[in-house]
Amino acid sequence: MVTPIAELVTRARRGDASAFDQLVRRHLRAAFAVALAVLGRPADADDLAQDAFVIALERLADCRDPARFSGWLLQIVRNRALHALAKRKLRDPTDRVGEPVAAPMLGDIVLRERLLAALGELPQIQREIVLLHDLDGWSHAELAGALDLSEVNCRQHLFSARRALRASLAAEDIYGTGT
Amino acid sequence: MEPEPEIDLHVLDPSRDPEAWDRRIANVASRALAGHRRRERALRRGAVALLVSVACAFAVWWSAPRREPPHPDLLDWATSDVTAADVLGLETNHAR
Repeated sequence: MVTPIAELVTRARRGDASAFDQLVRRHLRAAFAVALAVLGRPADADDLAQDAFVIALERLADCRDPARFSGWLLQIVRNRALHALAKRKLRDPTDRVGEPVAAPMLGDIVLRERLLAALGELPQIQREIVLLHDLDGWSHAELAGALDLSEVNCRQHLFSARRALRASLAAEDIYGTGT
Repeated sequence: MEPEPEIDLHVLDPSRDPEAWDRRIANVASRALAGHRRRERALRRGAVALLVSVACAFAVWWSAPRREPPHPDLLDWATSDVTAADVLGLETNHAR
């Protein structure tokens, strides 16, 4: 049986190591997805997601509603990612989200760079929704709860995001043709 | 609205290497737990320090010498019909 999030948060507040482990296991990929939606670079997103997660868990007492831990955590990740993005843009004003950081290479790496570039063309909310849904398997209800949107709104964003991604990748003959 | 098929994002999945992913999870969980314990310890020490300082302040207040009330004669004079001349023991024409 899956332990409810609220119970894990309560146990973690008391210093239960296994509760910490389960919270990280369930949410680290989602934290990565949100950081990637903002920053557009997997390596940066990975570092930021881990650091933001550590900070959030250290301040678990500030999470007023344990049942809404996911939304609270993702807000911390999003804020820190936006802050990091602003700093990055100060250093390099030409910087764009999703811009490939390396020259085209083979196989998965090419696909990854093209996906990142295509994701970079979407609005941030659509990037978050498509990454949380298609990468981490979140349901529309979970998305709506964590992102403060209605389920219908989430579905619309997901639909638009997928269609835009498919169109963008079709030009590169990755997913678009034949589907 | 016809649902759009899912986009395969597996190349972006950070958990594609399960061993590295497990190490990352363990690392984040242990860092978070250490930070949480550090914070708890600091809060406990802060609470103890607060209690000790409150106890010290009370002890200082309790052991301080009590101040006498203002001179009673003066109070009598201020709250009764006694005049200043009576208090000072003066008998002047004007007082009479």
